[in-house]
Amino acid sequence: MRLPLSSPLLALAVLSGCAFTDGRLTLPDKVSSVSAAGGLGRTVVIVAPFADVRAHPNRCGMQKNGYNMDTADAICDRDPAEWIATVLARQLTAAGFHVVATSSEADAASLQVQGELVQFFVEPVIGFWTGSLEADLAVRLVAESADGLLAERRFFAKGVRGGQLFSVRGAYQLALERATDEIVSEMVLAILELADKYQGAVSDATSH
Amino acid sequence: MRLATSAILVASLLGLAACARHFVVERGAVAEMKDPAWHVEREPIPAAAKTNE
Repeated sequence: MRLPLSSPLLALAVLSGCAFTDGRLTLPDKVSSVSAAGGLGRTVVIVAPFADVRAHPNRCGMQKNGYNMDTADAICDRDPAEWIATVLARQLTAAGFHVVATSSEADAASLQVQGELVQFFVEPVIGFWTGSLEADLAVRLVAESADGLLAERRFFAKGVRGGQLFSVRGAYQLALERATDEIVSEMVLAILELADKYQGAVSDATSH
Repeated sequence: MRLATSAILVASLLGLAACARHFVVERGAVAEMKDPAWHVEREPIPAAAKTNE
């Protein structure tokens, strides 16, 4: 039996772990590690969706072969700028805040938080023996209040799933979940800090 | 045989050095990408001060 001429090329492609088709990333709905409390029913306006200012908004990551070459994209299953705002709002609610979508429901001291999704990228990093999956998330938040507060802060988290021989889908997801946990946790704590400093520790909840 | 063992040892050391460098560089990059605190550009005006204006 004669093998076709392309057989060695095909074998090389398979053995080098090439992925030529785009992979799908499922954006996590839940954040596991955020256990902040202290919102005290204070009102926070989350302006969703956040602005998407990523350098490469058409993909959420890349797939590589064993030679560190970009072979295919990783695509988000929904708009990541909307997703990050929704996850943040959900975790602020879990932390005890009264989260609303419009400032008409807020008072003068209520924080109004707008955001920009600066980076969202998951990619394999090929090491000497094995590789790892790294998810980079960056968000810029701007907090304002009707009584004049204006503050901004940049957040960044790197989720790593190390020791990967092959870049399988589960490793992409795990790296992304770790980065999401970290960045959302930091954003919730930062908003709590700002609320405690400028919104007062006494709850608005009595008015709701 | 000894040459092969030495080659593997050197390759491993190079790999370890590359990993260490990667993590040091990454850690520095992560620190630069985020702010340790809020940049407050404008403080809120207390309600009492607004009344006096």
